[in-house]
Amino acid sequence: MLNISENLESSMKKIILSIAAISLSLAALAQAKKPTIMVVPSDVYCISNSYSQQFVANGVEQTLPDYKKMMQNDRNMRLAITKLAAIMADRGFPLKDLEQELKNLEQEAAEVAALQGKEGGEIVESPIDKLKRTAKADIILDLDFNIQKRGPQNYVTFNLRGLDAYTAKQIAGAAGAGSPSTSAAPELLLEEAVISYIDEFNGRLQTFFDDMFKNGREVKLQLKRFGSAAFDFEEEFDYNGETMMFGDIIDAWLEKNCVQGRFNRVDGSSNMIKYEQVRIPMFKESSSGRQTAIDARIFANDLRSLLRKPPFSVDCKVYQRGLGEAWVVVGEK
Amino acid sequence: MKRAISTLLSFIVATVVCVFAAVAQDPVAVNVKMPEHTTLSYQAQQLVLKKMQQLTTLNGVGSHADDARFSLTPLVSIEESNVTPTAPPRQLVKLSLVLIVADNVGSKSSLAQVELSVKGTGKNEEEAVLNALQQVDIRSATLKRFMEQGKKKIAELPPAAKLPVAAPDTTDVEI
Repeated sequence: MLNISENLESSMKKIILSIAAISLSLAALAQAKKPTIMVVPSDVYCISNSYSQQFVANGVEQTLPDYKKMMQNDRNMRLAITKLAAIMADRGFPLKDLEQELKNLEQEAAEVAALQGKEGGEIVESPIDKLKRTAKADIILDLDFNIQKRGPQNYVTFNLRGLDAYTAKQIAGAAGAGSPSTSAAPELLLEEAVISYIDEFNGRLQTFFDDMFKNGREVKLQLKRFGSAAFDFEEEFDYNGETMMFGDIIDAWLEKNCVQGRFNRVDGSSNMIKYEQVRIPMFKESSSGRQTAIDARIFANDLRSLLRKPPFSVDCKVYQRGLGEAWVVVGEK
Repeated sequence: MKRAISTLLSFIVATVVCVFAAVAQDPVAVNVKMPEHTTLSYQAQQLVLKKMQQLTTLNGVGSHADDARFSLTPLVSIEESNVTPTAPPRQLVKLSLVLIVADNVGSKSSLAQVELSVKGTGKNEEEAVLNALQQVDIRSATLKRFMEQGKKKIAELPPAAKLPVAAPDTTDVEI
């Protein structure tokens, strides 16, 4: 019979050593814009446990997770999230709590609806503002687990993926099964399974952060245009003594401003250009001479400044989608 | 004889003046009429009704009379719908709102028509539709032009066409 306490003690020692190694990098990361991390139960876990909602859109039925219902009914998942949050907090990355974030969003929606100025004015809220009122994080820890039976013994299989919310890349992963036991309660089995793989998971997460410092933050950038824009993206301009298409000019600008000139233009048309794997610096020098942390929005603002000058002389809207993605919509603000 | 003729003429003139005066004093009345068949929820229907009544009142043609000769009918349809896989999920709808000022009798023709496109979001389709309908700005230049066009078309009709429809006789209706 497995002695769960001994395994836990051994695993804790490994974790403490990992914490020391990670701390050095955290000190540097503390000055930059730190990504937020949140544990989100996987779609398969929610839907297979009947925590789901049905929607019909354009005649197509869709099934999506109902996170609120899951949080209100599933003690095992809440326990798993608590354990994981404690482990990550020890490493200097306090997680955003999904359940609390959902409650905050509901409270915010009610307060926005109720708030009124002294002269009777109400808060202006466009459909896009409401659309953005969702629980967000830069790194999603997608968690799925299942309590299995092998004869009289119970054991846990789990799948933990660290996903970059913007690039959709898996930056860390841990999957496997915990040790079977006839006596341990499901929550103990779960804790043992998670802890036994967590140092490998954190190692990969750390590699991601190290790469971000060395090679720049990887973001996505999209250019779009409003109908009122005076030109489309196939228009030609005289830029730095050369006649180039608008899209090629943007490519040249990215080559100059990205870390090591690294970016990837994945798609383009007369109305949109999509860039992925755009490596932006973690810091830039502000007008006052200070090093300030930047994200995709600040990077896109620099592009907007370029487009406001001749030969383009066009205003743009910079639409922020968190730390790692921004849209530049050409034509108006 | 002469006295009788002059009395008769005076009576006729007075009657004609009264009729014209009645027409001149009674403003054009446009009643908001919801379509018979609609997929909108009750709450959405009430919101549309309220907005359209505000629109007609703002433009000086508001009426709650069931026998109003002219009506404003809103036709709402969902053009596009999207669901976001977020926490919580959000549904986005794009509505087409067609407003028609029509003559209820006679030729039953449409006198003016305008189409608006509005978008809304919500936790489900019903909430998204309500949010979209709340975006309708009854003071917008488009709706003002539409109402002016409707009033102009009504003004071009013969005077008798603008009189209310006679109320139906309900004395023999069994309850």
